[in-house]
Amino acid sequence: MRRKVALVFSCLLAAVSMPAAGPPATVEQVASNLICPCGCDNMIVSACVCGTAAQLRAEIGDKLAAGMTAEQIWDDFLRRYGQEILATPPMKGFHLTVWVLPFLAALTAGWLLTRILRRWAARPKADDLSHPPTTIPEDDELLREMQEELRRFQQ
Amino acid sequence: MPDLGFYLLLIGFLLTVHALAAGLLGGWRRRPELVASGKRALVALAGVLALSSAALVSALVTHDFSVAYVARHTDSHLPIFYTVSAFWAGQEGSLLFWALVLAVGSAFAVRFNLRGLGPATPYVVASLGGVNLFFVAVLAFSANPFERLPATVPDGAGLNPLLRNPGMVFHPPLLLAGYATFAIPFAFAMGAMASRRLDTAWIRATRRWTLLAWFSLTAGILLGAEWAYKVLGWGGYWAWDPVENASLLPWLTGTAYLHSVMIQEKKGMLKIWNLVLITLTFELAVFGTFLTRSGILGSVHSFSGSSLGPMFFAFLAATGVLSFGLLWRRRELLRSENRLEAVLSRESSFLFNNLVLVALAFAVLTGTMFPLISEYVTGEKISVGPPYYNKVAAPFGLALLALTGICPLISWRKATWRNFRNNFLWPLAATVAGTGLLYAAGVGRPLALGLLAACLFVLIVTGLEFVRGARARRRMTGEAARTALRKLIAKNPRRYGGFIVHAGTAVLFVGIVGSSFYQTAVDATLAPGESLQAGDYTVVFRGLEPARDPSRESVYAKLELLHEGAFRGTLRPARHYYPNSDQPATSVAIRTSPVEDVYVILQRWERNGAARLRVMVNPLTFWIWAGGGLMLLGTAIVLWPEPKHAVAAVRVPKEVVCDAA
Repeated sequence: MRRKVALVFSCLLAAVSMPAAGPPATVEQVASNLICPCGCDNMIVSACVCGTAAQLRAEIGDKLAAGMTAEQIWDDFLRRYGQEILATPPMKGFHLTVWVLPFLAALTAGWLLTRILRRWAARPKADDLSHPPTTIPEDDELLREMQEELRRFQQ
Repeated sequence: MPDLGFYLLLIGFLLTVHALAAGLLGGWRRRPELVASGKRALVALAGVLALSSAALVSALVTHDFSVAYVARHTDSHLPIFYTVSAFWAGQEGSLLFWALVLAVGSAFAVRFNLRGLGPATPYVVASLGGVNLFFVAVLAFSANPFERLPATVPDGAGLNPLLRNPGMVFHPPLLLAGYATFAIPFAFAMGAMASRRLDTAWIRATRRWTLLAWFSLTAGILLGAEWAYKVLGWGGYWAWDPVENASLLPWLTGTAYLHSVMIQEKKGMLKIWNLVLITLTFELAVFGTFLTRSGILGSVHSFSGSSLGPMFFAFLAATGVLSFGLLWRRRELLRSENRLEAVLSRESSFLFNNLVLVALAFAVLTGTMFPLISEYVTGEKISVGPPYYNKVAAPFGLALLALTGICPLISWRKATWRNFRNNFLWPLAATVAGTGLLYAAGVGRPLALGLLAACLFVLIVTGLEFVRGARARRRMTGEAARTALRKLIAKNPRRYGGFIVHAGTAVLFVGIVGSSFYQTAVDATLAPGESLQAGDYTVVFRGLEPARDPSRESVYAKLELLHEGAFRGTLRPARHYYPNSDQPATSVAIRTSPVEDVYVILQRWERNGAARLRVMVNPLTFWIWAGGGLMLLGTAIVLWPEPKHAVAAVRVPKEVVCDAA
């Protein structure tokens, strides 16, 4: 069980951390991992409509044309503006928490839930003999009414 | 008049203190007359806050610029419609609106929903009084909307131009009303715990309130997204900014709650979990209100600047401790009335749906708070932007859609391998075939394909439910197909309204997948007569056109749109300049169709007549609004009163099916 969880977890992490593979990066792809430094609220460069973003997009275009890769361009921005310019925290050190925590929490909760469900399902059927499990006391009248109606319907 | 508004707030404060004290004392000493007087205090509070709100609206409409709030958010040229909407444009006003909605809701709830609650009644009155007390106290002592300026100013600062839009007029109040309404089921839950009356009475009494809150929050979020798309003008509708996230958090936990209460209603299980969920939802709604209005997430340092921060946090902590403390004390009373019959059953699929919704809320909360935490721990400022949320939320979204499809196919109580196979075979086969077609049509990205397949699965399963239900009716009654379908929904609005909401969610996801995976964007500076190419579209620039009206000056770009060479109409994106605002507002031009939107932004214009344009092609965006509309329609159907007779008629077949299975 534990190994299964570990496997699922590492797959998820790998899927999340996988860089966009395939054809060379476009301006949109590079710009979508940068936060616009113009002060607009957490807006990415590929979407922001301010002048700064337009300028940065043009700059990214020039750099891609000059043969730089997406990683090189991001590194260059990182040096110039600091960590805040990258739209995602790096997957190392303390910042790994933000990537790992949601999945870790979900998987732990999933594991707990499965255990709880098993335990509930294994509970003894002690009180089942007196009344069927699907009826709630308040519903008795309703149920009678329903069965009555069903009978009428079938006739 | 403004002073009267303030005095009314003070009276309101006394009324809330009375409701809280009378409720508690009445419950403790078993004095029904005290409880009755607490109820009357809550009804009176609604009237008092309505009058206080009227005083604020009157100050706004009469341009009383001696009131700080009026001077900050309006000016004398503002059209009356927007002047009134300034009621909720700022912090103090929106808090007053929150309190008003809560007080009116409380008044209706104590008037109409207390029957059958028995010993819980006094404590429900007390909790409603307590929550109202907090908001009225904040208004009266910390965020007074009627505060005077030292001297009357000749004219106000005016409303932010971005807020001068019909979508923005209704988005904030719907969101705030959604937040506030979740306080009512929460107060009932607290009352139930305090009184030890822990059956489903409190859930039944607040079912409509929860749905109303959910409806309002959903509509508020959708209108916000539409406003971002059509007015903010950056080509998207959801930027994962902290304020948006704050509205999503209670929505997610509230959605989980809506589902899990069904299990308690049907089977008497999950009592603790439901109390946890409603507490979380309420806490997140208050947190959302606070976040929207404080901007603490800009930096840790801006937090100390406002006295609202500590007050809100104290309230959140107090209600949290009280609720979870009570839950702990009552844990023995909260044992399930039933046992689970099998791990594979509809009950457990509801629980997994809950798990995914709450985990997604936790992920969004982690991302939203992480810049603060990181700055505190490492001293370094970082960003958690849209790419983070898109990556992290995608697996949860996929799981959620899959469960939405799977859930109706699994029987209650216990799913056997045979009914599993019978139910899944055709929907799954159809989904695989449909997904193959999508792949052949060029949907190559695995995540996009997976999400679309899940949407397809949900739509097929939901469609089948309607077809099967209507066919069964036709067989029994011989009705025409359309009548059978209409009556099917009318006789069981909860079940089929719910399915319509599910279908709406799937349709909405189709729009999200199309617009976020397959957007095309092109930037270009064009001289008159030049054109640019975006996807299959050609945009020809025909020159700039200035315009002027009393409230603003504008520059329009005249564009012609061609699709594969055929003329498709003209577009006129613009930039507007308002006298009171140093930031120009862009107004985008959108040509919408079910297949794709052409979306043009005028980014800049030059004296020589050139224009810098950003043209985007956003596939399937139309379906976001269509799906959202379907979700709201479904919720409205669920809210529709079901005749008592119909309740009986619809519940039988389900039980019968279960027993037969």
